[in-house]
Amino acid sequence: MNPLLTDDAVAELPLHRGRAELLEEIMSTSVLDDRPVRTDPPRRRTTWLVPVAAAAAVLALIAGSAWLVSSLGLRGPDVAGGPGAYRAILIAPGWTVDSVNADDASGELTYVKGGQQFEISWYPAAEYDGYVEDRRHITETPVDGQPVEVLGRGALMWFYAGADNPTAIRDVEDGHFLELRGKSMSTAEYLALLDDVHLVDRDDFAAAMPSAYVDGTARQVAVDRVLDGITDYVGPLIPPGSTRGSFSSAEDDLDLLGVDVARDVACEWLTEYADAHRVGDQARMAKAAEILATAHDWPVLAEMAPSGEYPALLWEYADRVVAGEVPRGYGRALACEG
Amino acid sequence: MTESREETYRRLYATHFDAVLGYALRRTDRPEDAADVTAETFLVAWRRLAHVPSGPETRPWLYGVARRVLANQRRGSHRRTALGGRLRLELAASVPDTSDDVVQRADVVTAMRRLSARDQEVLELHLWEGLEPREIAEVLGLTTVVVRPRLSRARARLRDLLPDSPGDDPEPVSHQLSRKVRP
Repeated sequence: MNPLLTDDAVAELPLHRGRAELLEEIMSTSVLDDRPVRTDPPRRRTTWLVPVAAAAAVLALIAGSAWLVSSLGLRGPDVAGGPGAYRAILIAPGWTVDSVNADDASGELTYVKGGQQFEISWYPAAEYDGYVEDRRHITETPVDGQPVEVLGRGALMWFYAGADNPTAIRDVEDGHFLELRGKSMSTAEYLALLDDVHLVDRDDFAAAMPSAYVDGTARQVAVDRVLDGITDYVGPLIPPGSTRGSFSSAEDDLDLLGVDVARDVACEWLTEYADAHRVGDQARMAKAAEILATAHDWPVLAEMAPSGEYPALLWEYADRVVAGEVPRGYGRALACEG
Repeated sequence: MTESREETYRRLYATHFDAVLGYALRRTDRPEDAADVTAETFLVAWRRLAHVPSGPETRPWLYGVARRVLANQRRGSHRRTALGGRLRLELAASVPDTSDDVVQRADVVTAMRRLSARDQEVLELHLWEGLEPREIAEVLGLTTVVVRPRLSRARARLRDLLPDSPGDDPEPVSHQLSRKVRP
């Protein structure tokens, strides 16, 4: 058993030659991907399972209209947020939702327009001091934030890596605080955009999100839809004797929700195959393999495949079973429950 | 002046080698396997250098690659790389059986093994690698809002398994990492 060495202890190991040789060996191998080295941090994109249509398209089409502001009951920059309205959205021409991750306590919402990006985050008040202190250190020399006003309240502004990446942390209100981060925009553009940010409560937030965002009862509807797609190929969904009572997901992103559901179905049958193999039940093994063979056809995975690694991993295990191999380590690799 | 591809890679390798090797050593039983994981991870980084994020996101990205290499290795589909032969030998000869400089108390390690694989992994990334939820999310390919409560629950379960040390919540190890920048 290895001791759980710290990185410092690892650095002390006498590996100088091996370390240097490995570097040269690697750099002497051919390069498959020789595009320019990226200098900006990447944005992790949420890839919508359902194309961003309906809500987002409507939002983009009517962006900036007074009608949307009034119909959603939004509170603009001149009005303080009401109770529970600590989330925020952007309504500005040409800006569309790129990704959203949110729960009741905190969330992140990213908008894009051309090469520009605007990110809205909200966090519990308890994290305010930590975030402000952290932002003071985003430059070589720590600096206090520049006072600005956001949605009628004080805020502090800093700049990430150059003047065109501003960020501002708004004072705490209603137990939460906002951070608004611009990318590839001038300070003037950024400050103008802050005027298009609106505080919203949970319902208005959900209403303003693209159709790939699921919340509340819509989540179970989405789970059922994923299961319906799988049921076209798999019957029954769970093996006889399974203790599973239902399928569910706590995700609010359709892609991640789909992963949860497909994983749970696959894990049921991988376990069934392994259990059946243990007791030498050929009929159960054959049934489990037959069902796992259909995993390539499950719509939720097929739609996700071009962008996701998870389907490929799940299929790899399914294919192994189909090839007669007893699955090992799938629980950890696929994050099966239990 | 723009940094060349080779210069960028050498800098990345020098900065993160110990962290990636440490990550692999803490998750493998044999030092040779850790050498393989490290070699394979940095080979991927070399070939996909254009995709490697810069700044504080580099290390979680590398951990994410190492995690997948490790998963391949665990399920036996990993083909031993031809690279890093000397590193394998040096590691096999130099990793001690015991050490005072470890990331976790033995009782905590034992308790963690009683948790589910999912809880274990998120706790390991937090306590052993010192990652914040956002960084853990990058490694696992999940969202921060999923990781944060998962980590919180895992910590609570771990506390429940350590009844002899109430209030003594295991803290992340302090590696010589660059200052953490919050997301």
